[in-house]
Amino acid sequence: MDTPSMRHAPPRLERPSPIAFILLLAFAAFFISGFSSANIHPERLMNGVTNLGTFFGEATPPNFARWDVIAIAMLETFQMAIVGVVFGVILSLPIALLCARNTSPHPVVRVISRNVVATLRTVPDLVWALIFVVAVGLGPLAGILAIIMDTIGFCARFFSERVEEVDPGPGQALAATGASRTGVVCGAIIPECTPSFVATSLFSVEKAVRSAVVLGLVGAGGIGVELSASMSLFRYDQALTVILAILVVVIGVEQVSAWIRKRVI
Amino acid sequence: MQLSISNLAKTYPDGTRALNGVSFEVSPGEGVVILGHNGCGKSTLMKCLTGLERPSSGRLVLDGIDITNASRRDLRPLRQRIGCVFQKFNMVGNLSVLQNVLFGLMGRRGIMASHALTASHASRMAAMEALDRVGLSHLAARRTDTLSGGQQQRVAIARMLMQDAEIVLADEPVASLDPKAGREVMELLWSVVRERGMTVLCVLHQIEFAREFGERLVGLKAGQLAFDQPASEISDSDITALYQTNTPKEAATDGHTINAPRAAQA
Repeated sequence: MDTPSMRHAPPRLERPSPIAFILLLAFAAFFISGFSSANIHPERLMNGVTNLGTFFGEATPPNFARWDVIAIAMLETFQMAIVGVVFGVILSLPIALLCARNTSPHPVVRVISRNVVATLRTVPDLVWALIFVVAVGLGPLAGILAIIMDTIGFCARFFSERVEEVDPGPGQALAATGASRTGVVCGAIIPECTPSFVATSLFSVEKAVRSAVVLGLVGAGGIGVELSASMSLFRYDQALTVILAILVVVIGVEQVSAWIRKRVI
Repeated sequence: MQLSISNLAKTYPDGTRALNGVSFEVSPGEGVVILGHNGCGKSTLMKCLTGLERPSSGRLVLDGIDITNASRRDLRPLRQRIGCVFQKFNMVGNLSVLQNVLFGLMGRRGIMASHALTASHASRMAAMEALDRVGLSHLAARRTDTLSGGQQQRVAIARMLMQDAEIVLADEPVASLDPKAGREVMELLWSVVRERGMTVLCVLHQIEFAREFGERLVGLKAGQLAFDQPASEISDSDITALYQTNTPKEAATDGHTINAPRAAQA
């Protein structure tokens, strides 16, 4: 059975390359140091479970006494999301056309606008909110501006990818009748992409409602302010009401958005 | 509209020689059908005429204007007078039929005048009239992608009417249609073209349609002219010879020797 070809079977485990070995070692070091800095030991975990029990004990039943204030704050959150997304989508459309290979006026413009969009996307919404709270003060305006930035980062990217996938035929047909580039974009490219743009914008509304909730924690308006106030005053029963309100609204928005998306596509 | 093609050649960057010295003229009001097997250079010729491809050498003169090296800006006013009919119809599928017909106005009158929301009453009526001519005015409000292929091609003809083109370039207009719809589209296209005295240059794969509709047949083989004669003078053997196998790759190298005698004869 010991034919020459069998002796040359590849080893079960190949020796990793030096770079792979170093990367593996570095990864292990980071993981171990990260794990130990979390300071996990059984006693602490036990306490955690007990504290969680206390929280839920105090939180139930939820206190609906301040329902009117919470409802208004929730409405504000929702409005922040809607206003931010509307402006974000309106701004995304021209930016996406600058980013897309087939509609960009010049490769340099394309590279610059893609990088701007990538930057907007990379900076987290919470950081945008912190910056705008400094710029325009506490309140919903800071939240709206943060959502606009976040929406452009998300929508402009997906819009431009959709524009690049567009069937060139109808656009060529319009160009063949002597239409200008703007004419081709408005007459063929945008109409063809509209269903996809609507779907992306709806995703962006869902995303914005979730982020609007959190933005309040840094003072950028909305229900997050209520939540952080209740938590720091140890009014867990009120906090639970806020959390339930968030849950209802986020799930509601997702359902409605999914329903509309099914219609347009 | 007079079209003259002289010594047109096109070599693609990958070395494929699609056209190799093609010359012929089309007089105003004439109906010319181009025949040839796949890869013979028909589509490249059409693309050069619409300005989608630049020829490597030779000249294209349309109505006294040299379009060989015309810039995009110079091409636009000329394109307004050229109606194109495509194999794949190229309608904007999720817009209404009426809107697609109105787009025929875009070259001449701009975006606002050709958008269904902002177009004038007169333009809308003209679009309905064009649709009536192709027998589809009852479908004006429908989404264009819900129409059958034959109907979409008729909408394309209505768009061309709206455009008020003087010359029609049709690249395999019936290749994606079943025989019945194909015949309807050819008959409609030709009757519309005759009504308006338009010049037609039409690429076809169906020899019977070519014989029936074309006044003059131009055969292309391996990027060169194989024949160019009135339809009545073309023999069946000429056409059979045109379709004898000669793969595009061979054509790029041996095309010259194989076709030289035939081109001389024509």
